[in-house]
Amino acid sequence: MLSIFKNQRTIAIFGILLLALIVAPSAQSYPYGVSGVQDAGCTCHGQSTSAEVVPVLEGLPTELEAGGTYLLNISFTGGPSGDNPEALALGGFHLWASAGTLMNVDEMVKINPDGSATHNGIDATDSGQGNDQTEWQVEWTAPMDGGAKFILHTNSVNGDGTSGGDMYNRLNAEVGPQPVEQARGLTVLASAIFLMAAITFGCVAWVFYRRSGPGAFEWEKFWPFVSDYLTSTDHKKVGTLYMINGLFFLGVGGIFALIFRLQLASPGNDFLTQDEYNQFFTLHGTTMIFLAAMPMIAGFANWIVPLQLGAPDLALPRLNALAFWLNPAAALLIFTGVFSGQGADTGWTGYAPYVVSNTAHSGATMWVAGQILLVASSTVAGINFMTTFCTMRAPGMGWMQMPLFSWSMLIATLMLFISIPAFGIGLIQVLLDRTIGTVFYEVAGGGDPLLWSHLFWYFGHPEVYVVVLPAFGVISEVLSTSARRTIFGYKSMVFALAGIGILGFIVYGHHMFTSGMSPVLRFVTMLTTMLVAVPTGIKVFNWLQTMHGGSLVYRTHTLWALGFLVTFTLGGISGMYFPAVAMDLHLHETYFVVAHFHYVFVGGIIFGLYSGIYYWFPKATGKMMNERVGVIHFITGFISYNLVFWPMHRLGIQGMPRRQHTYFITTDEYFALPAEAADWNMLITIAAFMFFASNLILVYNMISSGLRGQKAPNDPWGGWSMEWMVSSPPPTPSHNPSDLPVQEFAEIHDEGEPGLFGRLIEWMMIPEESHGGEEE
Amino acid sequence: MEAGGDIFHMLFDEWNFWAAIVMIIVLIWMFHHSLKYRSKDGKSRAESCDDFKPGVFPKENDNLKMELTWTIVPFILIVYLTYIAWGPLDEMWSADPDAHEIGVTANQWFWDFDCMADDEQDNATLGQQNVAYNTDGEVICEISTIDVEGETKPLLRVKAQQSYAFIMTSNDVTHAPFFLDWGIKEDTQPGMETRLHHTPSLDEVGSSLLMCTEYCGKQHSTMSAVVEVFE
Repeated sequence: MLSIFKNQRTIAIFGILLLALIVAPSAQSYPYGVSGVQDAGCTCHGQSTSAEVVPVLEGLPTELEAGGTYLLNISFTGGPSGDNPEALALGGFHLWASAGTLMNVDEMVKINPDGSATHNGIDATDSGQGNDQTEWQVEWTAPMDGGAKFILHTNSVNGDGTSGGDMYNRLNAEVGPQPVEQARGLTVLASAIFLMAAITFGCVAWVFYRRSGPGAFEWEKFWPFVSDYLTSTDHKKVGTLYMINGLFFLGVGGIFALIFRLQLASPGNDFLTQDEYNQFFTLHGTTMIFLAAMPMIAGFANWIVPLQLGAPDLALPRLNALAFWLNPAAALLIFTGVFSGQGADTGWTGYAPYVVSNTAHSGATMWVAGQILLVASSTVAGINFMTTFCTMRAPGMGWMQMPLFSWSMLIATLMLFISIPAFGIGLIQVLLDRTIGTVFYEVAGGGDPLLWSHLFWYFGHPEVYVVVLPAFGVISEVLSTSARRTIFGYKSMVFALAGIGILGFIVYGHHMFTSGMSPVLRFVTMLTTMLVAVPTGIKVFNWLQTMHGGSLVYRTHTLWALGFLVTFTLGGISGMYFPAVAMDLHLHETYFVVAHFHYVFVGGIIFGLYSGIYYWFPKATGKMMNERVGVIHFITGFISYNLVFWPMHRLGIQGMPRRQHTYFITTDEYFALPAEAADWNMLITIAAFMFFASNLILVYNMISSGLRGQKAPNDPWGGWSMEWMVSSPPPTPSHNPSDLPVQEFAEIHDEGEPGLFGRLIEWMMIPEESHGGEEE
Repeated sequence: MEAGGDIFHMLFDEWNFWAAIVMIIVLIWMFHHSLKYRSKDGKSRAESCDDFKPGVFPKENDNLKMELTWTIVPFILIVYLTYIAWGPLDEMWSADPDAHEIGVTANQWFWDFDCMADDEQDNATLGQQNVAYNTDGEVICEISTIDVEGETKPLLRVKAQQSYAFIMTSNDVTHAPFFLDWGIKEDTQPGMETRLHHTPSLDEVGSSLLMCTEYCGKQHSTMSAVVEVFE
């Protein structure tokens, strides 16, 4: 059963990791555990607390007087301190108080920037300083209401100039009335994440149970069933893992949104504290983009690209599994801070210098580390897909005969590949700034306040296209198949994709119109951003014209594709308001921006991917999805979605700033938002819950149809691309490597293929002996 | 009062007009085609118009003239929109040499205004940083405080029809003052000086809330001030 533990080396590695997890938090005297900011905390000597050292904290009153001042005596006994007659130092301490103010009474003690107190003097050269004592005094002013908690760490040192042989211990104390523990938003959220995990596990167990049939149910078969997925390098199984990962985090990100929508339902609400609200919107953004949208796209690409290209699998299957498994690890790092109340609170853009300032939460360090893992994952996946596109197309399939979903993935991968190094570099710089004290973004140390914005948006804007292009690909496939018509203007579709791919790199400045960037750059990016409308317009009009003369079959995926056309066009048009700098100065950082990018991200990407789920589900599982439930999902989802995001345009024009915990309604004293803004916000919150609930219909449909659906034929919708040639579900390997399908043509095609561009790519990327497409 | 300045509303109306036209074309096209060309029997396996077969690249379906039309027409529209968005840039970025300068310093999490009173001119108020006068002895900038939902916030008073240049910087992280009524904002960056220019019109007389619109940490959402334009 637990076969992975048979290997002793694995056990040793797990052991070391566990040990590291236990030991690391003890090096900090903050109540919230891992922070990594050593210079501001207790640099405790030794690996774990030692009972030989006895810290003492005297001077706390029995009856606390509000605002009163108390002199606290700190001392310790025991340990190696004083044993050495030539000791260079005797000991040190670190005292943290949850409330009130600590003040030093003499220069033996200093107050840290975060308000905690510690001894002065750090090494042997500063004789007569605080580290040559075993007793210290600190003044503490009590808070005006409530009590306080204290955490005291003392080091007992032998004075040999190193921390070897030293010991430390910890003391907890409290004074005055302690607040009753409340179920705060963060606790609720942690429960929500565990609940989602439990639901997912329950689904897996149920699928397993039903799969084997009630009679054949045996727990002994459960682990082989699960471990088959966990250890597989097959593109279909990895694709399924990606999809589960993506949908799981779509749920988690959705719960984040619901929680902060409750906060925004009425003005001046205090459902969440500002601190919690900041963490929720940060993690909502990061989760949705990096942990939901990207994995879902990778899931589609994994499933469909090899099938469409007529390849047995991806070119590098083991790298594929590695790319996936970096994702859950990254997710753990990104969320680490939340569980200690110090989740990243920087916004998903993580603007410097805030992200490296000491006012940002300590969880931001882990959040950055997690994103570095995601950069690695995307890079590895990108190598894999590019190799597959270049070398594994079926015999006869030139570049200009690839199905449009594959084309969109190729362009998206190329864009990701060119943009993500900038992001990776920026993240590593932030991580170094936050951990070892470099000053890439520390303005006082000579850092540039705009560098991060440039690096981030150089990546961030192409990233938007990286996630939206695959959705374009899905819509192209779905509309063409549903209308029984070849996609209108296949070549212009490909050139439009490539055009978006190129323009995507020279427009990023429009995110920085108000940043103080040079006016010349603002003007140039205003022109280029306007141009993006041209290739996008070509795509929309080509989709519309594809239906001309066709015979459109209404299925759930067709409905989602038509819904996509409406919402994505709206999102595209609202995007045209930003490149006009004079308008952007008003709209920047308002809800108009929020409305725009949710129309693109949800109405574009998520609707496109839902269409793809209904379209390819029969191919992936061999079961048809329930159309009636699907239509209910579309109608409820489409209406509630528009109710959530359409009013945000109005709020934005009225000047409601985004990323704010609350909002202000006009009073007699000053002008702010009109009174109706409160009603709109209430409507948005109610509709958000409806939208979340409507997505559960999809989950229900996928599971119930997957178990009980009608058996699907090989080509249920009548598509032409190669995934419809294999059985449903596809065999493994997906196409027989010794009998690869050969691309055929309905009419005599141009023998000039590959063209100049195609030959150039092949010359650059493929060794002479193995010519692209042909199997050696 | 209305959020957003005159330039914003001029451009916004123009954009809405063209957005509505594009959207109406797309919607009519979509509903017409998706209803007119729908499958009569609703069957997926219906007679295939282009006769798709798995593994067979379908016959071509394109029309160069149509594709060029919807490349060139949107392009012309884009050029036109860019042209009308271009004009106001000058008005926004060109500095008026006679503008009165007001210092804005952002901090976590409060605004610091400075009227930058000229000492020689304003002997009467020497040492008093929070009032500035013009050559006629009229008050053109005054700083006091105001109560916003129970918290004391700075109140900046400026005169209508007087041109101002806001010289902005930050002491810690990025912030951005959003002059709601004027529809302008600009980031304040540590170690950098950014500028905003505005001449409040008589229509803009009154007080409006100024919020921080670049995320700056814990109390970002309550980092506000009030700007009052007086006649």
